[in-house]
Amino acid sequence: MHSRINSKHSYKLIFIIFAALFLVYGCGSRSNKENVLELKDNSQPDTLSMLVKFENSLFPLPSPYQAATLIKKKNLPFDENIASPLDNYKNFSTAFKKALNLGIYGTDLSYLNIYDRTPESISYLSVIKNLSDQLGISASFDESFFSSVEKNINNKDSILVLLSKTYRNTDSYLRVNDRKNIGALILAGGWVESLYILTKISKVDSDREIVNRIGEQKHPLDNLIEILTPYYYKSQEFSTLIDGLIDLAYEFDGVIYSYSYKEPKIDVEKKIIYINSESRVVLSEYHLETISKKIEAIRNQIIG
Amino acid sequence: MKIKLTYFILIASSLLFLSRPASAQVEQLQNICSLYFSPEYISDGQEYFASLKPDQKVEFRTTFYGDNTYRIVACTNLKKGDLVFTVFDTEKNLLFSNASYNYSQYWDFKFASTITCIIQVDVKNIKFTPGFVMLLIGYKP
Repeated sequence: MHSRINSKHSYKLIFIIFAALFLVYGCGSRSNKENVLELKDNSQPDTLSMLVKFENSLFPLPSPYQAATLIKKKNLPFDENIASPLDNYKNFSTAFKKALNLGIYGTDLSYLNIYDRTPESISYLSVIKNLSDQLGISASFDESFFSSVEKNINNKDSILVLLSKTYRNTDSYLRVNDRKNIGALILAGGWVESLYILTKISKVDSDREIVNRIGEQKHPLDNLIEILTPYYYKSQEFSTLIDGLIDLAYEFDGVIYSYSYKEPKIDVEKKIIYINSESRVVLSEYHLETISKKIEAIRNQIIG
Repeated sequence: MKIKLTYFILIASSLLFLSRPASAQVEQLQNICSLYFSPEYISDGQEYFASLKPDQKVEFRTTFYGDNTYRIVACTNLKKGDLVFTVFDTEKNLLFSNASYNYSQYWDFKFASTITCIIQVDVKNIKFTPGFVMLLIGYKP
């Protein structure tokens, strides 16, 4: 009888200990809620599987730094008036503005980097560091980041790799810490600035590839709007930004796209596949002009 | 009674393990995925992280620019189950599936033209226990 009571007592005690530990690790963090699946009913239900939609993770944007890579390829002259003025950063009083401009300055840095504008690049890095401190994400832009940048300051590609990795780490940190709205704004700023730079350059040199790249922003813009939409009612600032992007998206409806599938070729040994399908973009002068004006207006509102 | 107690401790320990913070899971996946993300590739600045159960798929659309080479890395932190990522064009033509290539954790894609693709990720193993997957996309400058 005595041993039966003791076993029962041990059983209860162990259960209480594990339950307490479970509560601490399993439910203590708000960020765990972020990873709860949002199971979505597909309009065309797949009986074999369920489609999972994870907030904001399913709307990737191409890297804004690819605009810089394209510009570099075209050997276009440097325009010192393109990058967003650094002095403005002192006027950014809200997290909304700081996050957007963190994205903008990152894209500007990629632009300066391809033209070996080292002193300016260092200044932009300094402001990026400042803004990240103010947003509480300075862990990504820590000493090891800056010492790596210093070591690689003359290597354009290494800087882009470092910068992208850091922005990716920041994106991850913000998601895990339930600050996805800030992550979304950084992405938005980066994309807005890359399109702005492309439209500015197209006025100087209407290179076909540059103009096509502008026209190809339709789907990335759709994805960006999807990323931001959950925050539409969060503040007036958010709704103004999203309304501006939706208005811009209407202009892309005037862009003509054509696509034809061609069988890809695969090199198994090199683990590479060559996608030979062809696409074509036709962007009229009218739509190019309207897109340029609208993106400039959105960008000016962000940096002002 | 001893057997019952041992059984109970094992179940409770498993629950405790599964409930550990998402940040630890993210970090673990970052370490795994980074093994396949070579330094010559520039990240698109985002990290795609999701929880999957058997019978679930993750699907999304993204644009790949013409005349560029990309790397897609897909990884999971659980040993059971093969992670499958499949790439379609918007007309649902199959462009690639790693299921045909030994469930390779990564593959490079060179695009002749700018294409919007649909990427699907799921796990092939009915015994797969729920876990996390991560996708990384990068381009070669």
